[in-house]
Amino acid sequence: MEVVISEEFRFDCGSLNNQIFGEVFRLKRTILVVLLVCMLVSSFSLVALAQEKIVLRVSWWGSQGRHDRTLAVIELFEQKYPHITIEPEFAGWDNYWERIAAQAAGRNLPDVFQQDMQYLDLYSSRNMLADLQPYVASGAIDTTYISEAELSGGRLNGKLYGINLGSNALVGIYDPEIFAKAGVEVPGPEWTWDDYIEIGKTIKEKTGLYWATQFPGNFFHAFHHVLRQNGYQFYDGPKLGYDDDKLLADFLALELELIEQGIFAPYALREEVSSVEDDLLVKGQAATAWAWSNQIVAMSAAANRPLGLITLPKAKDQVKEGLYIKPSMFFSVAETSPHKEAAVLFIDFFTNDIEANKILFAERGVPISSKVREALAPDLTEAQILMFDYLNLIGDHTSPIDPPEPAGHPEVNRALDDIDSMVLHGVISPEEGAKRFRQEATRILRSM
Amino acid sequence: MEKNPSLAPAKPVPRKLRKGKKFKNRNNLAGYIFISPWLVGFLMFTIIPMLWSLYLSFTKYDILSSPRWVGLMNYETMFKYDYLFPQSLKVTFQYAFTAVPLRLLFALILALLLSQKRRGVGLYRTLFYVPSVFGGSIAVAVMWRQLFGVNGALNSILMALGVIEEGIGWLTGPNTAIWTLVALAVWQFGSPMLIFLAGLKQISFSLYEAAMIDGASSWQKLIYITLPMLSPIIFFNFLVQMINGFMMFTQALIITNGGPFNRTLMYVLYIYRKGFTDYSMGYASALAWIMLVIIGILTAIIFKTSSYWVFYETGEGK
Repeated sequence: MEVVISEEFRFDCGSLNNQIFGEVFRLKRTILVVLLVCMLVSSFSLVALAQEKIVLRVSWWGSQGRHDRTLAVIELFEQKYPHITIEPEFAGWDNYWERIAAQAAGRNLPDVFQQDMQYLDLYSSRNMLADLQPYVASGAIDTTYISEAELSGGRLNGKLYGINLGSNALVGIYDPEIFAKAGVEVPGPEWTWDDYIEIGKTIKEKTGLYWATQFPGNFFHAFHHVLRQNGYQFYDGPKLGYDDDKLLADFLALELELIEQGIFAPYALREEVSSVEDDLLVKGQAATAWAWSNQIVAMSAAANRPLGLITLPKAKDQVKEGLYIKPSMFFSVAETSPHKEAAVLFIDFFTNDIEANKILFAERGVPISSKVREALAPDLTEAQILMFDYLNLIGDHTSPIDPPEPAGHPEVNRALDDIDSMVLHGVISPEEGAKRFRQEATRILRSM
Repeated sequence: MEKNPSLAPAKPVPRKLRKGKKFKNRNNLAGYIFISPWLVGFLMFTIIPMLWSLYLSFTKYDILSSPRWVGLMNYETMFKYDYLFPQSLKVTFQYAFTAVPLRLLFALILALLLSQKRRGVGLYRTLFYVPSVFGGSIAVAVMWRQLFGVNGALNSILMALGVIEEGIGWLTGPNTAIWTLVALAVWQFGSPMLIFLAGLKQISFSLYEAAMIDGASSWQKLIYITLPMLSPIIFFNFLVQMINGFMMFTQALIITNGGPFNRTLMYVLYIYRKGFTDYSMGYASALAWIMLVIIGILTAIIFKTSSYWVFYETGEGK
């Protein structure tokens, strides 16, 4: 269109008074220059605006308590850095990983997202995660008050793929009132599985309440604990780390027995617990809940009454300690993120800012910065003092953490759950279950 | 067509050629332009992704890195080693072959009742349609969970009536879980009901009139007039609902999440899990193609047998 008009214009020029049209031409040029300048200025200001306004996507999983706290910290961050706007995305554990997978497939990962030990290997090996070591080295993430031991959980193949958001360990959370009512003494860290069963029986008899919803953590974590006590790992590279199927068979049989005696809640009831808020301990139907130590904060908020912490039982003549301390979760930065500087700024704020941590209040686990820990100490609630003390206490009752789970672990874990429920419904015997699990797990791990 | 010359192709066509064959082509082109919004969408969002998934089904693809060609390995695993593949097929067939006929039966009975000319029948039609409006939603699925929970409404009612003494875990019982899903499906009979209602209105009153003169009972009228005349609609509903049944997903995910031990593992849920939880997108694609083949075969069977039971007024029973 443009071309046609100017051709006509030139044609007209020749046939009419040149001077007038020379004038018009000049005018046109002036207009053009003015327009060009306008455009340049506006595009510059656009660039300036873009530099000013960064939109950062931050994603995490958790319970309502965590969502509230994290959102409050985000608000604080936005006040301090008005040029950064944060778009929060949050969900429960299951939906979270499905969404992250879909976003990873679309090369659309959030700039900052919460990361778990069992996915660290998978995502880092696919170049999805930015190496944070340069930022630690440059001081963009201030590690003055953070020891190397606290950071090392996020290291893999010489790179730092996540900043630990808090330290964690498996724990038993109990209701002191129920223990008192049953006349049971609270067990110390030296108690054994036999004590565990004995106390459970007493509680059931004296109060009619369940001892626990299920084994500590969930079936996988509890069995993992037992394996460690017997000197095995769950995985040895990409295959199962134990040879004796009797270990699993016995553990399945024990679970079956505990449910039959009403010491554990029935399978149907257990399956309905999908968040901390509807845990049987919180609802006053069970004497204990077994979870990760950071969950005590959410749990006592939901229960709204004093709760206590106990260690996991030891095994008689155990080879090594079953308990271990692990990074509860990390913040990772997506390799695709266009705003890595801002992402790191947020992580630094999240890790080191005292005010922010007063809001977060160690809900993700004991903070890694010693300065933050000191600052929090005077304000800690009872639940948090418990958590801090627990992690100090179990120092002598832990052994080092196993390497991250291999790819395929989620599927293996699900196969274990399936077999567990088949055994509990009497479809197969514990022995068959143990054998079948080995077949399934081997097949899954081999196909990865 | 000619009334709207602005939609003619941009290139001017010489006057001589405007008649005859070329004119017809021009007309076709206009037609294609008219359907182009749909066509582009169909190509972009259906055909290309489908072909892409066919390619993926021969690869190992974990979403995070690029796909790797493995030939028929996915299909081999499926038929030889993966016990969840036959299990999910079994569950899906069980669901589709119970939920769909029951839903259609319900829809038909209610359509027959609501086709009568009574006062306030419009209100009833609306009321019965309501569950279908939000039936597929997450909210209803969550409500269903509550309803059938151990401490849920159903158990409370049954306990109050003294039918049972202890709460039953409907959703976690290996033999009851799937029926809660079937019940939800039956409850959403609204859309086939509306189609049946429309179909019933199409049946000429003269047929009933003639039958009345011959002294037919209402049962005979139903069997010999209504059902045969309605059979094309039944056929249509059956086909559409069957395909829907095989694609059932949301409710299985929210209400039972495939449990207990895969007794409600719907095929599409399994595909989803493989793809998005286990990051085996190649295998998930292979599963999806098998589903396509199964639905294709099933549709063909329904079409083939339709000549035996579907009556078309115009086509001499064909």
